[in-house]
Amino acid sequence: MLYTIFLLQIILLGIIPFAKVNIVKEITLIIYSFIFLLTLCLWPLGSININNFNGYGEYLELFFLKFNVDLVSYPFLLLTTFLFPFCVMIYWNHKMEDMKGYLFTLTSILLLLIINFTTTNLFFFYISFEAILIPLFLLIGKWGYRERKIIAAFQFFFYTIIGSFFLLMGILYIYYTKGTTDIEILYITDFKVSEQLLLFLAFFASFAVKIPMFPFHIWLPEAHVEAPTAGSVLLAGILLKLGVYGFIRFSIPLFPAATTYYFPLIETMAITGILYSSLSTLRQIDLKKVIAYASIAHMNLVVLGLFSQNIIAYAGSIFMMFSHGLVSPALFISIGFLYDRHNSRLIKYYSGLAHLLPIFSIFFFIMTLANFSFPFTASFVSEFLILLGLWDTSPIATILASSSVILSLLYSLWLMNRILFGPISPYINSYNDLVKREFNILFPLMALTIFLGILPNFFLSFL
Amino acid sequence: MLVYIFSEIYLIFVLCYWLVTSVKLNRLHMVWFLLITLILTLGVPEWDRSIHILNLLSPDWGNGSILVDMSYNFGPYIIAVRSLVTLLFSFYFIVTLENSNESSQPKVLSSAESQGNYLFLIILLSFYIILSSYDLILLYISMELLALSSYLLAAMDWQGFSRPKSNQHKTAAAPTAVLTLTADPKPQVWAVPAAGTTGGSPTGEPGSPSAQGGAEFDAAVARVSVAPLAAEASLKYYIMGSISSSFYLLGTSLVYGIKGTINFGSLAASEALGITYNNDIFLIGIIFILFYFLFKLSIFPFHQWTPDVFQGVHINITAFFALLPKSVFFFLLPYLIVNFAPMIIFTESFNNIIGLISWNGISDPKDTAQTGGLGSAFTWNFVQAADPSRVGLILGLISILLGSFLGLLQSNMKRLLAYSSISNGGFMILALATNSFIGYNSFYFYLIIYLISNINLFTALHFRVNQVQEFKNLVYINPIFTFNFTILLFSLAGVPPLAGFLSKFQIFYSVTNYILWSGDSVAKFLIIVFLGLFLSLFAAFYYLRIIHFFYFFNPDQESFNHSVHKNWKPDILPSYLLSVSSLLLILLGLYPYPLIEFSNFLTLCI
Repeated sequence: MLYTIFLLQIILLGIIPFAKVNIVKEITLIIYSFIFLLTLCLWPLGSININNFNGYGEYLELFFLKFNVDLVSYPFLLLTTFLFPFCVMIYWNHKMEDMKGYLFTLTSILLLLIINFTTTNLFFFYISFEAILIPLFLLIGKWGYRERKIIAAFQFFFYTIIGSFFLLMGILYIYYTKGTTDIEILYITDFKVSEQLLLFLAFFASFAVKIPMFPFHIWLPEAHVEAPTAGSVLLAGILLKLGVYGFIRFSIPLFPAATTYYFPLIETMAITGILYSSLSTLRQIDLKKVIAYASIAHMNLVVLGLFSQNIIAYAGSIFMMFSHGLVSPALFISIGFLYDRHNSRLIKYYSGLAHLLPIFSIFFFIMTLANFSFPFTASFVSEFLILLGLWDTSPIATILASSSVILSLLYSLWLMNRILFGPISPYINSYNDLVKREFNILFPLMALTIFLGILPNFFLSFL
Repeated sequence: MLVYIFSEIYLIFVLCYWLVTSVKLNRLHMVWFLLITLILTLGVPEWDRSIHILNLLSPDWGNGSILVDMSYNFGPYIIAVRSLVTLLFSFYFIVTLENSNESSQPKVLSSAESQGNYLFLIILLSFYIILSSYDLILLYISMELLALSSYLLAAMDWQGFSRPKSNQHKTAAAPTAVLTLTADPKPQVWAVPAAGTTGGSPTGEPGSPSAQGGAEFDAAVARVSVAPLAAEASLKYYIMGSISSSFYLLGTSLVYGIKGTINFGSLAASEALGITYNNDIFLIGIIFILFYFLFKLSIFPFHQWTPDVFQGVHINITAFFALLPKSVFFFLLPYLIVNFAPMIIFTESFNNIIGLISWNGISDPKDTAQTGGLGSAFTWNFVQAADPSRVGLILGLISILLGSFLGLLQSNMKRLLAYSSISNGGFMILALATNSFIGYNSFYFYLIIYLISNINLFTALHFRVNQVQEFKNLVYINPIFTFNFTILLFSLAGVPPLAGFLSKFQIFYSVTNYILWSGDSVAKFLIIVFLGLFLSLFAAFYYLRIIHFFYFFNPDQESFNHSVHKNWKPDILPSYLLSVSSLLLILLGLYPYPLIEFSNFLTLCI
C-alpha cells in the first residue's frame, strides 16, 4: 500500500511540469485524496503497543531502505495526507501565479513528509528532515505575500539547519560507534549514560527548533506570517509535528536515561515557552501572528506531556498534536479567506464580522473554542489528559501549565471578540460570505475536531 | 613499453604539426584530439602492473629496483587519472561553448581562441607529465610548464578578439603586449606602448586587431591584447605562483641535500629503511614542497590569489582554473602522500617539529621531552595524540571558514565562485588529513562530485553574469534552467537529498572515524566536526541568496530589459550537460553507490 502511495506521488511529480494548469489541479487533488484514502486503509484494528514492528505495520522494503508504518507514525501520516488536499483546494480559483510550480513544491513536500514519517533509518530520517527545507524555503519565499518573506524564509531555513547540524553530529557519532543507523537495531542497543546525555542534547537541538521551544521559536511567527496560506497550513499542521515525531521516535526510545535526566530542563523550557508565547500574543496586531504564537504554546504543552513519564500524558500529547493539527490549519485557512477578500491581516481592520459573514463566524467561533480547549473539542480532551498525567510527575509544572488554559482563553477570546463582534468595521466595503468551496474546506476540519472531542476513543483506542 | 607514452608522443607530434602548418585550432579540433588521446590513454595493456619507464629502448623492467633511477611512472592509478583528466578537458570545451544567440553572424574563429587552444595542448602535455613524474625535478618542470601556460592564459583577452569583423565595438584602450610563442615553453613578454602599434585606437578600425592577428598568425609571432583586469589578475597569479614555486625549489634542494636523491622511489625506500638523521630539515623541505601544492589548490594560507584571479580573467579561463589544474593536483596529492608516505605522514620527529614551530625557542627536539613543565606536556600531548595531520585538519577547517565567511559580502559571481572553491578545497584537505582508506574514499567521492558541480556551474554561468543581482527573476525567463541551477546551488550548499550533502557527510564521517579511532576524546570530535559543519553553513547563505534572486521577486518589466537577459537561451550541447549534471546530482544523492564503487577503485589503485 505504501508502495502505491510513493508511486503515485512520483508519477505526480513527473506529470506536473508537463500538463496544463487546470488538468494538473484536478489530477493533483484527486491523487491527494486518493492517497488519503489509502492511508485510511491502514487504520489499525485492535490495540497493540507502540513501536511494534512485527505485529502491526505496513512494511515496505525497497532496495536497501525499509519503510514502515506503525502505531507511532500512523497519526502523523493520517494528518499529513488529510491536510494536503485542503492545501490544493485553497488555491483552486485563486489567481496565483505559477500554479504548477506551487503544486510541484507541494507534492515534493508530501513525498518528503511521508518518507520522514515512515523510514526506519535514522539517516534517511535526517535526509528527509532537511530536504523539506528546500521546498519550504521556496514556498515561503516565492508565494508569500509581503516583502518580509525573504527574511522569514532565510530565518526559517537557517534556524532549522543549524539545529540539524547538531543532529547530524549525533548521527555521525551513532553511525561510527554502532555501525548502523537502522532503528530496529538501534532500539536494542544500549548507550552509555554519558553518551546518552550528549546525544540527547544533539537530537534535542534539532527537534527543539522544529517544535518551537522557547529560545528557538522566533522563526515561527515570521515564517507563519509570511508564508502563503497553504504554507502556514503545512507548517502549523505538520511540520511542527516533525519535531515531536523525532522525539517520540528517536529521543525517547534511544536515550531513556537522558530523558529522565533532562526532564526538568525541558519542563522549564516548555513552561517558559507557554507563558512567554501566550503573553506575547496579547500584543500582536497581526491575525496570523496570534495563531502562530498560539501554536507555539500548544506545541510546548505537547512536549511537556511527552516528557512526563506517564502514559496518560503521553496519550494526551499525541492526541493534542493531532487536534492541533486540525485546529491551527483551520484557523489559518479562515484567516486566509479574510485575507483573500480584504488583503489585510490587521486586527484593527476587522470588526463586526458576525454581522457580515455569519457562516464564517460560526467556523471561526468553533475553531477558537477549540484553540483554547473548550470542552467538546478535541483539544480539551488532550489538554486535560496532559495536565492529568503531568500532575503525577510534577505538581508545580501542572500548576504553571494550567495557566496556559487561562492565557489561551485570554487571547483567543479577545481575538474572536474583536474580529467577530462589535460594531461593523468602517474599512470594510463589501461583504461576501464563505463560498461553497471554502465551506467544504473548513467543514471537515471543524467536524473532525468536534467529533474527536465527543468520541476521543476513536483515536485513543490505539494509543 | 612505448605504448604507455603513446598519448604524449601523439600530443607532441600533433602539436608540432599544427604549429608548423599554422592551423588555427577551433573547438572541434580540440575535442577530436582529446578523444583520441583518451583512447590512447586507456588502451594500454596490463593495467594492473606498476610500470616504471627507465629507458625507452630497453625492455620492460617491471617493478624496478631502488638502485635504478627512473623518472617516469605508470600504474593503474595514473592511467585512470589521465583518462579522467582528458575527459574533463573535453567536457571543458563543451562547457565553454559560447552562446550562438549573441551575434547573428557566423562566428569567426578568433586568433585568441586558437592561441588559447594551443596553450591548452601544452597544458595537457604538462598534466600528463605531472601525473607520471617520479622525480622531484621532472615534477617541477611539468608544473612550471603548467603554471607559465596558465599565466598566459589568464592574461589573454578573449573578449577583444571574439567579435566578428564587421562590428564596430570599442576595444578596451589597453596597451597591447607582444608575445613570442616559440617551441620552448618559456615565452618572453615585451610590452609595447599603444602608440607604437596599430591596434591602439580605442574605437578600433572594424575588426582590425583580429584581422591583424589572423593575418600575422604564425608560429613565431602572435599578438595578444590584454584587458586591464585580466592583466592585473594574471600578474598577481604570476607573482604569487613564482614565489610558491621558488618555495618548491627550496624544498627540493633541502630534500636533495638531506637524502641525496630526488627520485621518489629512492626517497620512499630510504624512509622505509628508517634513516632519520637530520630528519627535521627533510621534513621542512617536504613542507615547502607542500606549499606549492597548497597554493595551486588555494588552501588556507595560500588562497589570496583566488578571488582576484577568478574575477579578472574571462569566464572560460575561470572555468579552466576551477576545473583543471585543481583536479590534477587533487588527484596527484593522495598519490604522492600514499606512495611516498613517509615523506609527508607521521614520524616521531614530525611531532616535535610541530612543537618546534608552534613554540619557539627550542632547538633540540630531545630536550623538549625531557624538560618538565609546559614543554614536555606540549610535545607529549602531540605524540600521544598521534596526529601530525592535525595541520591538515586545521588548514582544512580554516579554509572552510574563510571560504564561507569571505564569500558572504560578495556580489560578483566569479569571486563568489572563487570563495566556494576555497571552501571546497578545505573540505578535501580535511578528508586527506585523515590518511585512512575511508578518508581517501570520501575524498575521491567529494572530488568527483565537486567536478560535476563545477561543470554544471560554469555551463550555467556562461552568460557573462557579473553581479548576482542580475539573476533577478530568472524563473520567469527560463524555468528549467532555473530549476537546474537551483539544484546545483542546493547541492553546493550541502542540503540533503542532493549529492553535495552526501559528499560532505562522507567527509565528516571519515573525520569522525579518524578522531574517534585514535582514541581521542569526544570533546575533540565535537569541536572539530561541529566547526566544520557550522562553517559550511555560512556558505549556504550565499548560495541561497542567489536562489532567492531567482524566485522571490515579482516580475516587473525593468528587470526583463537587462541586457544579460537577452542571452539566456543556452545552446543545445551545454544545456544537455547542464541537465545531465543536475540529474546526476540528484541521483547521486539518492543512489551514490556507483560513484562510491568508483572512488573505492581509485583508492585501491593507489
